[in-house]
Amino acid sequence: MSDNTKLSSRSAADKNQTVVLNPPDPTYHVAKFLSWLIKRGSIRRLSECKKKWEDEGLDIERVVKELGPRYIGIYRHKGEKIVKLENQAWASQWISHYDLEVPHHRHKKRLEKIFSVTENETKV
Amino acid sequence: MAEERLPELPREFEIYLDKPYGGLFGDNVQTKIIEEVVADPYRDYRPKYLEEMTGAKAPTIRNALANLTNLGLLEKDISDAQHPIYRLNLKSKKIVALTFLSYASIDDRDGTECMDNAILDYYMKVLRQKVQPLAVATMVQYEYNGRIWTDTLSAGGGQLYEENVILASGQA
Repeated sequence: MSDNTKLSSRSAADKNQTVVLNPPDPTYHVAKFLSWLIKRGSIRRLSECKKKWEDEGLDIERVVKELGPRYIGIYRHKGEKIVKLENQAWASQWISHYDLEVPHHRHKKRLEKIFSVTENETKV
Repeated sequence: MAEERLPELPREFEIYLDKPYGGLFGDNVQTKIIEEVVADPYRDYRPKYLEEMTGAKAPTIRNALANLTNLGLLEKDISDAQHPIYRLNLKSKKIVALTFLSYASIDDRDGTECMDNAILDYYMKVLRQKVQPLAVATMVQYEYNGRIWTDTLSAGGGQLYEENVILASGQA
């Protein structure tokens, strides 16, 4: 295995697939943000990103800083800060890994199951 | 504190900040809502939230949501009649097509292959299940002095292995 790749024996959607993924793993929640960003043209105002994602517990500025400018950067435009995804290929593979690339009913059902398990665990 | 020094956004990206799908369908509220809900497809949407995200007024949002519901893109949940919730109709093929379009917009701009990856992903995760393989086979063909041998190793149709010897035309 090379330094810059990691082997995943199971993707989120297909347990029989072997997929090579380039790190860093952004985590599921950050992948959700990246999926939104890429589908919104891969650039959005930082204020808009914050308004939308900080309710979901994501500190966007921290995410940008931790990933670094090779993956996602902050620019300036008419006095506003703009978040720009720099590495679509990297983001795309993780979005796919977390089954967020193309929406489908099955994924929603799976999320509902995850939520209901979580809810059951908290109802002690 | 000193102002952070940040690079200027390249000019060609400007249009993607304000116009959905890079301006392909103009700059109207309905298209802004479409781009937003397609980009975040599993969320429950309230009109107030979309007002904040698009900057449009309540009646404009209401009209657009009613229209998108009639078109089958959204489903309206009126469990609480005072505070309706809108969800993306994930059974609509238009949602899949619009997702591909969002990738195509940046591919054309940046020379990336996001749409192709998304199509492949869609095939692997959704379409492939609908395609039942009838047989899996490998075949090797050899030729020597005008004669052709074909070895076929196959699984399916009840036959695991078969070997054929075929004479090339004119040799039979």
